[in-house]
Amino acid sequence: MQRQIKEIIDLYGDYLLRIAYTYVKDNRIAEEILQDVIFTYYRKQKDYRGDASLKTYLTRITINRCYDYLRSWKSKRETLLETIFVHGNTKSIESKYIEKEEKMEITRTVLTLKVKLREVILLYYYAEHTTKEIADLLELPESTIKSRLQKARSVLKEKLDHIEWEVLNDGSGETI
Amino acid sequence: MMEAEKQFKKEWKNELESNIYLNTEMKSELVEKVVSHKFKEKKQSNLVYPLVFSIFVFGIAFFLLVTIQDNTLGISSSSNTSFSIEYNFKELLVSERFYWTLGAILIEGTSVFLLFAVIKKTLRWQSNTFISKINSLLATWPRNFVIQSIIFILIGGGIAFISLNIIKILVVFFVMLLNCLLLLWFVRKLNRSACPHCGKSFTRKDVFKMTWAPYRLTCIRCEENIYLSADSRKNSVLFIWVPLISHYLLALSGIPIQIIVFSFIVVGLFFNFYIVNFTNRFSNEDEPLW
Repeated sequence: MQRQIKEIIDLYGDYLLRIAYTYVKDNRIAEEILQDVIFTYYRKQKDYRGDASLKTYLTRITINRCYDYLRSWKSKRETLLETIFVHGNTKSIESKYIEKEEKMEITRTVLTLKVKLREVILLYYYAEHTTKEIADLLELPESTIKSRLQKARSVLKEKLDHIEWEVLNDGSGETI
Repeated sequence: MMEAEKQFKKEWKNELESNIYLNTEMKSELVEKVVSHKFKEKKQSNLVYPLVFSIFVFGIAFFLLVTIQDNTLGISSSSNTSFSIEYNFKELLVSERFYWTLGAILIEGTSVFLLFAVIKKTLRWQSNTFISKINSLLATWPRNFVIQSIIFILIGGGIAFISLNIIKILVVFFVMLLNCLLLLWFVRKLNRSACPHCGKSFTRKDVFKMTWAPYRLTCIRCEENIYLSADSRKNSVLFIWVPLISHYLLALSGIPIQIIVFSFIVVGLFFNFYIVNFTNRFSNEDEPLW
């Protein structure tokens, strides 16, 4: 059992951590969510029927846990305190943390998007899912995913003007 | 995927992989925590809403009781109209107390009967363990009849021995209960309202937010436009009549208005926070009322 957990963490730990980080924008909270996800899988392994791949299954749990955190009082309090006490040039702890490491221009820009736009960008470009797979994962119509992707790309286009954007390709080679 | 998108993807992946990762120490610590059950799953329970709501209801109730009648708490457990075995029958028939007691017992009986009917007939509750246990207890009609009769007699008997002031307050309580049970009866076969586009069932919070939205509504999940259906707009007006008429009749009977207002507010809150989840139906087009 310990070996199995270690294998899962080696295979998917980093990936799930990055997904959680993109949602909650805080490394510490992302680590807590990852712990929660691994522990949930450890306890409820028999609930995994194998309909989807293990990676997709764990991704779904991670996304649900992220949403639980974002809906919680703790998250709203943090956002409120940040809004009240972070003025002008004052940097938040989170942005200072980012700037301690290498310059993360693209990540920082993506994190400025709303959650609903951020998640489709993450799942499409980082996790490399098709729009259909994202629609299944998030339990939304595919048309909604496509329109969110378009909107996210138009917002990012203004902010990342050194990258040229093309028309969205839906993964089957057809242009929308 | 075009070159520019590939470049974006590559750069972003590099950024994430260089900065967001688990080192060896963190991985070992995580494995150890999970295997040794040291990591306790945090239960997410938000007690703020029930706590604030309970304080509100009990605070208002206490305030109302303090403001009515002569003594400090506004009610008297002993009065010169308490039950006496020495009443003769003629005096009993013309006494105010007799009719109040009779009315209270009738309303109490109706409430008990309706309560069990609601428990038995509400479809969405049938999968609940507690309700299944009650239904198995009331499986046969003789057992059903006996249990309901026992409860009716116990409460009714209690009513016969208390003072008139408390009977009046109990009447208001039973009218309030009856209104809530009637509302539950009307929605016994309904499920939670859902989005006509994606089929998502709306939670209490979603419905509450949408009830107060001044203009067009959008689904919280798929963000498509939705509209309150014409039927639900018409029906919502009907639901107000029964509580309004029943509380108006109570007001004519001389019960202090504060208690009646309190009862009406409780029924209103029950409708707005629970019943409306089932009565509000949405459609994908703006249906005309007539």
